[in-house]
Amino acid sequence: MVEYPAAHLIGIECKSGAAPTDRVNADAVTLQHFVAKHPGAVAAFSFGAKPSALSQKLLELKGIAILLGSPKEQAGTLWKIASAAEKAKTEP
Amino acid sequence: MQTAMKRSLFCALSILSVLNALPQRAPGREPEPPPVAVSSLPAGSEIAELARLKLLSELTPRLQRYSPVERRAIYLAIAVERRLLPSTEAIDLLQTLGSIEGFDRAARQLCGYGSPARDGALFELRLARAFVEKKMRVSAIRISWSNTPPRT
Repeated sequence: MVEYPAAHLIGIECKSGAAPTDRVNADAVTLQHFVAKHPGAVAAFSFGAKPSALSQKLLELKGIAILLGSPKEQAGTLWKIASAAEKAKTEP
Repeated sequence: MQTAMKRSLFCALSILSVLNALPQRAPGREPEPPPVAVSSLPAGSEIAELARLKLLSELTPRLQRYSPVERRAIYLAIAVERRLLPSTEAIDLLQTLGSIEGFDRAARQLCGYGSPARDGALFELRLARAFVEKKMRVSAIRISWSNTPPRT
């Protein structure tokens, strides 16, 4: 769980491999419950290997960000997502 | 044997120096000791012996007498002994993430011999390290979403 910017929670489910779609879907639902309990929180799914197209589509439909690549690349992606979301909130 | 093991681990851990920063702590948890600057991990025949234990159910009881700080270092030393990660990376993970909620669980899972949770724990620790490098605050590692209480 990451807090960025301060007090803005980002729940990240990590999969070191691609993970089967049913597992991804089940964990995405649990993650959605977590986000629902925390107003303003966002969700992301991190994969160590490229997930199936169906898994990606399911996550897109649920509004969950997908992080791919090396840990550094994923951190960069998440930073951009969080910064863009923050900018959108503060702009009139 | 056990006394010698404990003595040697304490010698290795005695080089830890305490920083002045306050620890990160989740509400309701026991106070954590302050973060430590770690310059090395426990090493020697005792760690090699522990690294040969394949089951976590055998390893965990052997470490019950150590403090959480000592256990973290021992778990990581075992992972290094098994060539799961280099010692420089293990020390860095301990320094940067050691006081974060859930680190102990991740460190323990690193010692699950051939377990899928081991790869997951290592991946999550590396990801958390990358977030910290990007100046994003990691508040918990390896937590269960279903049991996370709402934060105020």
